[in-house]
Amino acid sequence: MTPAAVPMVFVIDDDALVRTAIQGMLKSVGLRSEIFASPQDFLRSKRPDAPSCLVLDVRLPGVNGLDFQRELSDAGI
Amino acid sequence: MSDPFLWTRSHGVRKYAIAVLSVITALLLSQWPVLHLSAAPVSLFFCAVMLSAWFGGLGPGFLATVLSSFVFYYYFLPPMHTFVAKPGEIPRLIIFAVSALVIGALSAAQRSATESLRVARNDLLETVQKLQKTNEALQAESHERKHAEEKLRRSEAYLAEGQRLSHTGSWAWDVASGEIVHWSQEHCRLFGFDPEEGPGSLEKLRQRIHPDDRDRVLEIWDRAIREGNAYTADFRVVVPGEAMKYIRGEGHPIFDSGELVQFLGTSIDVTERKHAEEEREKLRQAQDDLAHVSRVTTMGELSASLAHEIKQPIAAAVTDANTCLRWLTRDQPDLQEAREAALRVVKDATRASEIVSRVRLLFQKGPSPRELVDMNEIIREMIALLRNETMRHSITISTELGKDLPRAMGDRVQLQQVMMNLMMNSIEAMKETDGTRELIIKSHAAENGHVMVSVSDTGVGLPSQQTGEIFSAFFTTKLHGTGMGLSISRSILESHEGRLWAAGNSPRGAIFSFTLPTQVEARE
Repeated sequence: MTPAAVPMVFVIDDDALVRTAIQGMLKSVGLRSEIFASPQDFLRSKRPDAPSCLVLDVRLPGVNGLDFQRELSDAGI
Repeated sequence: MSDPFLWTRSHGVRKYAIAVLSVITALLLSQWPVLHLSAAPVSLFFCAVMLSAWFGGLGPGFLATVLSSFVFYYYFLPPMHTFVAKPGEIPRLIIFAVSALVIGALSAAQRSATESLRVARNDLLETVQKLQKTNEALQAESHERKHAEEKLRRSEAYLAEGQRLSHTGSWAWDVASGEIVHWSQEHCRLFGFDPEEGPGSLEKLRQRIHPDDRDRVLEIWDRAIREGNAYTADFRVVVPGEAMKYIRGEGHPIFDSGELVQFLGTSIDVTERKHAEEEREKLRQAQDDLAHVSRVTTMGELSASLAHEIKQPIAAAVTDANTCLRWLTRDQPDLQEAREAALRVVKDATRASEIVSRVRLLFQKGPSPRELVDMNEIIREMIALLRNETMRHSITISTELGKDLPRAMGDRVQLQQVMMNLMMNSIEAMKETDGTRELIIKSHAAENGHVMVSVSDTGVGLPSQQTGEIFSAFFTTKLHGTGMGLSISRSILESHEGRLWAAGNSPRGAIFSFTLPTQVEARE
């Protein structure tokens, strides 16, 4: 399995403790993850073209999580 | 002296010349036919004798008598113009001579008497002049003394008035006799004694001291006397029928060649000051209570955010603990991963505990001790506490905190409250606005050793008409505001010798700034 094919979980949470906890938990069940402090950071990052999912907090600095999800689907990501 | 009869007496030969001349003159006059005196010349010679005795004294008087007797014998006793024996005329000659002698003696005596009278009068005059001078000197001295007394009296009156106005009495106490030697009028009044009666006894004074203070004051006195040291004693004075007085007594030892002789002192009525202090203390207490209530109210408003803030690390801890268990319960336990997860649990729990302590501190009542506080630390703590609140309202916080900020002396909780109030106001002001919601907190070292902190927002801004009123108690533009936040913040800063003010932000919003001194110790 090429690295690109490995499923990837993206975690966006402004709280460092929470996002590292989630990342650690995902690792213990065998999932790769990448963590971001804000949606802006996430958008700026280079995302691998692989099956992936996004763990998103509802309350995020500057923007609402649900609104952001809507923005993402509108942008076709 | 103008009186020719009182010419001074002639001396030596001159007075005898007067005698000779006067007898010759009398002879010539008696021989002058125009006067027809040749028949009765006696009076002329008596005059000559009288004059001689008057101006010359007894000697010349006697000479004039002898000369006159010879002339009388030669010229006027028959046979005339001869010294031959004239036995029938001898009785006349003797009568003449004796009469002339008597007249001369009388005249000389008279002159003597007049002379001594004159001397006596001169002496008297001199004495009177001396007396006059003495009198004048005495008068001048008396005037001077009166002037000095007047000055002294006035100065005493000023002193008494000054003592009365300042409620300060003065006293002096003699160590050897144990007697009070001076009590000012005000001192009498302070202890409820009649100012006219002067120093009372020490025992009477003791009786006026509040029974609870008496022993303590007496001990201070005894020690001061024993050790010869100055002392200060605060005590209460109870005068029957009067309100209780608070007195501050001070005494200083007076030494005379190394030996303690007296104590000089003052008693000051500090009742008003005491009451003012009590009032101030009550006011401070009330302000503290109000600040506490306001703090608790604000924390109540924040409870949802605070709960989230505490739940967040707890949730992380739960997740990390589960992860740890999962690594351990695998078929092949991964101890390295489990250890890392466990370390994260410790970190999460520590943060949760920190937040709880911080919140609990804000709920605490009463003033916390003044300490050196780092405003940047307080700013960071309050940002952490209000993070959730800002996020809820999509507000971004940015900070520009000055490096090496001098620390300020203050009440940490109260300063946190100020930061919390200002930030909550900004959040409140931006809740309903469109566009950027940005909270910027800056800190830097200002001039005169002050620290300056500013909190700016992009909210609705200050009410244009009532900028001056925003710091008044109960003034609020919020729906559920108490109107106490800014008022309390300002009094907290003022009690720290600091200042709080507001200005408009551009293009919109408000900037609240405050300064805190770092050099001087803040007022209690």
